[in-house]
Amino acid sequence: MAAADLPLSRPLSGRYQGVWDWITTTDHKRIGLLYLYTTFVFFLIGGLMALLIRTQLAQPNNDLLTASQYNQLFTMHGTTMIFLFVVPVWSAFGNYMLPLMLGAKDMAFPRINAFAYWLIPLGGLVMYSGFFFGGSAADGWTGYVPLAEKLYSPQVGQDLWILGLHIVGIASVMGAVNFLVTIHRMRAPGMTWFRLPLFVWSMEVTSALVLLASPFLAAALAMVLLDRQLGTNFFNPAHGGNVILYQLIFWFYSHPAVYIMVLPGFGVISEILPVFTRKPIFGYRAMAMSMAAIGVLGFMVFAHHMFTVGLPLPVQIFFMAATMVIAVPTGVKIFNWLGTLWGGSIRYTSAMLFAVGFLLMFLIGGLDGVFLSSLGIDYELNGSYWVVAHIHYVLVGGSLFALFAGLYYWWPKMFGRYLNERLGKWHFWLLLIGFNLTFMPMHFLGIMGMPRRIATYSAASGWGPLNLLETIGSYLIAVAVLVFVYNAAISLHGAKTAINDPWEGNSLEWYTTSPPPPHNFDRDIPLVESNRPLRDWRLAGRQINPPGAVLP
Amino acid sequence: MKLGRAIAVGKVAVALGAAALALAAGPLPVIAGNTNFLTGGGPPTDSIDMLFYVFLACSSAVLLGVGGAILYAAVRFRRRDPDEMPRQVHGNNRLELAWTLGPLALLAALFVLNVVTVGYLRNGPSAASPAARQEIHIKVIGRQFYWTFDYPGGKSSLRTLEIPVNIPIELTTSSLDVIHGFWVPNLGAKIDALPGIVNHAFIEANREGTFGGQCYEFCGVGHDQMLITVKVVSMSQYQSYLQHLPKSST
Repeated sequence: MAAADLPLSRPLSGRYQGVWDWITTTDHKRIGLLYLYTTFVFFLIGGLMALLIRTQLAQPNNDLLTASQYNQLFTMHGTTMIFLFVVPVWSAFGNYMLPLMLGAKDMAFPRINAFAYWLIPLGGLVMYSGFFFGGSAADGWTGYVPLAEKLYSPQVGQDLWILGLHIVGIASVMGAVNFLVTIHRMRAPGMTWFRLPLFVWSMEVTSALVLLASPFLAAALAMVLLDRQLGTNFFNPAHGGNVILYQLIFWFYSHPAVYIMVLPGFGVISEILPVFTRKPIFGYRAMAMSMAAIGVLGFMVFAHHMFTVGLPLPVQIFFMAATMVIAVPTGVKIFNWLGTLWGGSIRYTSAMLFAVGFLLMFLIGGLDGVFLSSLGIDYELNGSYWVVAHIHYVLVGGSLFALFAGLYYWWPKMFGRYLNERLGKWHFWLLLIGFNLTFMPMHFLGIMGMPRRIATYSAASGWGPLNLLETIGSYLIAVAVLVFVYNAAISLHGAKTAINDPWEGNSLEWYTTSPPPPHNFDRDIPLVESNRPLRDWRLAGRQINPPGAVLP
Repeated sequence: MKLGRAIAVGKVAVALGAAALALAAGPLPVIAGNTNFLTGGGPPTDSIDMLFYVFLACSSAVLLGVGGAILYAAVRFRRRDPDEMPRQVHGNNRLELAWTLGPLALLAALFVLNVVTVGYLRNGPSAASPAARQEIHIKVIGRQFYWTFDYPGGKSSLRTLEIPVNIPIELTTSSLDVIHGFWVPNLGAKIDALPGIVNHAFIEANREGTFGGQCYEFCGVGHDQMLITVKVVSMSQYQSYLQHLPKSST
């Protein structure tokens, strides 16, 4: 019996046994599911906040929300979606799939894994508790000083926001160490670096980014907390503090964080395309290396968020150059995904639809970002709705589409049941239309001079019609999400009919039952000889699905 | 043959990009409002507009070329027979090199174009030019939740800035409390107004009229009320305006 199996305390019996098992679990699959459930709840909460924001902005001079309520909502919407949803949701797939893909029995540190997970809901509750103590943080997810200082944000919600982020940050670092050690030490025999599934590569690079960047966020937040609670003057210009310092440290984390949020999505797409085209990924090594390049370059572009703070021109020019260069490895990925589609035999499951949707939406999100790299264009569009459009094309069109692709793809493995494909297609098309209705007009609003984060605007601005269109689009997104929730609900109430390998997969997670047994594999794993081991074995005539299994 | 096909796709992309540029250059500036930098207003905005249209042309070409190729492949290569097994292509070094170096060259060109423009946008006309010698200096001060403008001669105005046409205006921005952002889209580059740090910016108008703008850096509950109105008038009107302004209190 491995150490990981020892119960943390004497188990309860009877009625609460099941709940107790989940609370004390150190099984990477259960922890992965806990991450999934928790982050999905946060996604729904953040989505409700977005709907309130969009409703407030639907018409000029609207007074549905006060400015103070609006500011709390957009702050907590951004914080929720970034720190409680997109960043930790990849730990759901990472935890569930990574050991399976490596042919391992569990993560390297199962108890640290459980601890890291439980910090996520705790951190979220700490942040949200501000709502009950005179209001939450209300200065944006960026928490710029001096607005976040006690003088301008006296509410305790600001301190709780900082503490909550610290807690979530600790969870991220623990998770990252766990992923790194697991990838480095627990690969199946024969699984060399260039035979790793690309999702594993993406988690490797992401975890390295988390490990190196997160301490900087912690440092920036700790300095604000010290200023607020102990009267230090890091950011108080009256006593020699510098307000730019915060932004430099904050973005040194928060730009890599964008890659932390989207790289695992790249990995998911690189898993799905080969399976549903029946082709190998085009340029495997370039795909792995471009992720590593993005990881390194990701640390060198952070000041492009600060082109209007008055940094010296040579510094700005350096960061413009670095920002443009990072578009190159990103472009390589898009081209190689296109190369994977080209000449393939494409089967449109819902997972594949979302993957192709990802390619197109992320392409737009990449291109509208290039405008912002320009010293000149950014002097107009910085801080405008163009930026809001860009970040949502990357994080919704990119990360969220990849996430749904991954959910449809791995759902049978995780739950032993299929999602309804017809509802999946409804989900996809509603989301695609709603998403573009909501975020495409934001480009035009940015050009028309609408700044982000304003609680309302005058009718004379001419921004009303496009805002109304966006609000309608956002309700459509809500309908799409409800379709998915309904799909998930009926699937989870259905019979467990999923076979081991429903999609003719390439990687080891399909070499076991759906869902897998407690220690993942009930049979020995043969030597891995390529980056598509399962396909090799299938072609060699090895039995992967039980006899008589029917592919969906 | 594969390479030939890729080149053909590239040619189509360039043609489509040019078409998109023609389309986009038409309707975009028509979007109404006096807070739209694409409707022009002065020399700095004109150079930003030039950059914008160049970027728009390039990105439209890429969007239509690459997006079009993705859509084409997504439709053309649908599975038609459940037993179909496509050719197992693992990659193509020449193609991959091409789509690494191609974008790099394009971005390098855009980079150079930016570098030659940016000094003017930030610092205004070079000190040697005749225009620069008659620059007017105005102090912009942000606070929760309004702007004040200090003119030469100790005069000051609130929320509305009045400037003469066809003269470069040098702005120094600062803040008395949190970070604010000074943005008048039609007249030039935006710049932060920071507490404890003085920033320099420059605007210029080449036509008379009223232009709008507002704070773009979130500054608290009154953020949406930090509007800026800029009245561009003739030099003589500007001078009589200054005479009637009260003295600055700061």
